[in-house]
Amino acid sequence: MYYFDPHIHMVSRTTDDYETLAKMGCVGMSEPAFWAGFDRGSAESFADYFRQLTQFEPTRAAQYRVQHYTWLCINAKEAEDVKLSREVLSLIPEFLDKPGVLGIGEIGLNKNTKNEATVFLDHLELAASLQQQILIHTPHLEDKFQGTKMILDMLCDDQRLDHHRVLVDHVEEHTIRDVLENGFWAGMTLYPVSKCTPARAADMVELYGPERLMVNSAGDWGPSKPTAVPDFILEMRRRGHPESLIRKIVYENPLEFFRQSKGFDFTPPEIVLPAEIKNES
Amino acid sequence: MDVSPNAPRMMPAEAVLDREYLEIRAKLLEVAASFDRLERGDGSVDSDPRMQQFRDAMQMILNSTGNRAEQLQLIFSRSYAADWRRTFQLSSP
Ligand SMILES: [Zn+2]
Repeated sequence: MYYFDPHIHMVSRTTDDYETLAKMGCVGMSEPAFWAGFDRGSAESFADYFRQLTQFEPTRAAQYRVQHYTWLCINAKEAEDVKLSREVLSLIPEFLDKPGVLGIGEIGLNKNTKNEATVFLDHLELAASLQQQILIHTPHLEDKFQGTKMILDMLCDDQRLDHHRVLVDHVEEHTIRDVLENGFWAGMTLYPVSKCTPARAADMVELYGPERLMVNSAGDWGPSKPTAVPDFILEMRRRGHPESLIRKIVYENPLEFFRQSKGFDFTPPEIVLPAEIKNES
Repeated sequence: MDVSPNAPRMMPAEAVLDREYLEIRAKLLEVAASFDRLERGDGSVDSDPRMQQFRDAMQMILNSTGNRAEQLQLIFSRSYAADWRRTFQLSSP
């Protein structure tokens, strides 16, 4: 089955991972800007990172016929530094028209502080004024419930935002309902140990249905599994769910959401394939 | 518990039990062994608030029906106060 990973940090992964993902059916991915595991020293460092995301990664992915898209922002962790954040925010507009850029993300909260919320609101301002889609990081573990509620408060307060153009990621059992009921898209992130498992993601599909729901691996530099979406596909199959339902979540839903960005020029593999067969015969 | 009207069909309970019996048994065994390990260690963590979270979680699993996973998440969550913007002196757009 073809699938799309809507949230994966390929800058932290090897080229071998691209090959493995391609072999497992991954035909597209979107990579939000995030924390590198250490705090960057200056805004110029972010400019280089944005070039890596918009130029280098799509080229690396294309070698394996994986279509790579990206989102730009300063992540919630480094957003604690408001001055640096505002310098980085001023760099973003010049990158937004580059091919493959889908919008602003992953913005959000980390420890739910005032500075993080201030920079989150700055990002909303940028996204609303430039009609950009938004991808949101919700905090982990004990901070998730509180942080997700705060994020939803800020999103719902801003009358300019179209909720169908916002994806709220890393939802779990205690946050998914609020996100979906407010009309946003929701992403479930599959981590190997600490957070959501393929089985619990499948449970949430059974409870809430497949509308506006996606799954992702959020593969990055930490313990994570870039092939987590195929694990979810297998779990759904083992439960006897139809292929059409699985395909909706791992392929059609991401495409439906991303198509709302003007930077999304995805060529479905089904269209590529027959033409290739004709050329070869 | 409430299930969305367009939610997909579930496996029969008997099939879920057949498939997960050994997995659930193994997970319970891990929890039991972890508590033994905590007890065997030098000193005591009995009054640590994290131990109370575990006790609350186990009580809840035994006593509730439906959304146990959601409730367990909430036991391990910081609370939310709707007036957080006032506390932070942040204005809305
Ligand atoms: Zn991420």
